[in-house]
Amino acid sequence: MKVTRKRKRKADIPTASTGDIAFLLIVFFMSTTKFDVKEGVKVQLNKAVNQEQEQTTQIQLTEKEMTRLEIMENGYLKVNDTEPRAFSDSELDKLILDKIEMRDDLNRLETDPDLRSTKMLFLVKTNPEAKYNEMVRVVDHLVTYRDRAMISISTAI
Amino acid sequence: MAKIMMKKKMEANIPTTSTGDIAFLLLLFFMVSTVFVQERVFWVQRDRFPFASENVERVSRNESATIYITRQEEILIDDFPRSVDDNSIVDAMQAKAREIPTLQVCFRTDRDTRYQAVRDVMMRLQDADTRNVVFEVQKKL
Repeated sequence: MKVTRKRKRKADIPTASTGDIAFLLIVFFMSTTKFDVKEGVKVQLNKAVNQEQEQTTQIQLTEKEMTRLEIMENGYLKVNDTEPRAFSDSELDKLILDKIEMRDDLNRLETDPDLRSTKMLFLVKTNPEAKYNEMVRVVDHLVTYRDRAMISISTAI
Repeated sequence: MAKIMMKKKMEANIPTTSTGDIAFLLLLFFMVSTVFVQERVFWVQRDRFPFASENVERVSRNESATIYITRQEEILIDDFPRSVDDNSIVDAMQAKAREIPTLQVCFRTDRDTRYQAVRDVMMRLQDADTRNVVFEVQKKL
């Protein structure tokens, strides 16, 4: 019987263009990617009023312990019970620093060592009709002194 | 008679075998490091963000949720309009907080928006107990 040998065919995949294809894909990804960096001013909101009432007791704070910053509709700032007026960036910084130092002075007189490191509390209350930009501006300045002050953003109606 | 010598031409040969590998490595890097934005539209453009001088911190996209509030006081989360009058914001944020325990809620708000709109959303965030917020800003030049 005559046995015929099968001829083996060579399998050959052309790979010369692989690099070109990959580079085309890279160019596509690079040109369509849109970098979206998130950056902003970080703060922590207070607990919801109903939760807070369950867990805390109310205490009365004096002006030396708490500064109330009220942003008016026209962007003016009312500090505690003073007349509202416009504050420049440098004036705002000075005001915050003065208040922090006032609290530090009070701490020096404190006899209880646990209370000596209490920070000045800044309560930011914004008029509902005021611009969001004004609130962020004040919070941005306050966050500079985050280590020496507590910031509370009021959401109370 | 001068003898003219022919210069031997040297063959320049750049090995291109590894080009494909390099390209695929680059491709893999881009594919792995890309985080896709969940929303299809930037409802508030970056140049409408409020200004901040300092204290601008970066937020990881993997640990954040974005709330858009337009100047017309439309509230959008993941392209869906939400209302402060129902529980949709609370539900959406609680669902995200379950996925990401260190969730930070980023406000992308037009700087001229009335504070009331932002305050109402913040109250909803307090209800949802997702209280770490970031006010996205553009740096003052």
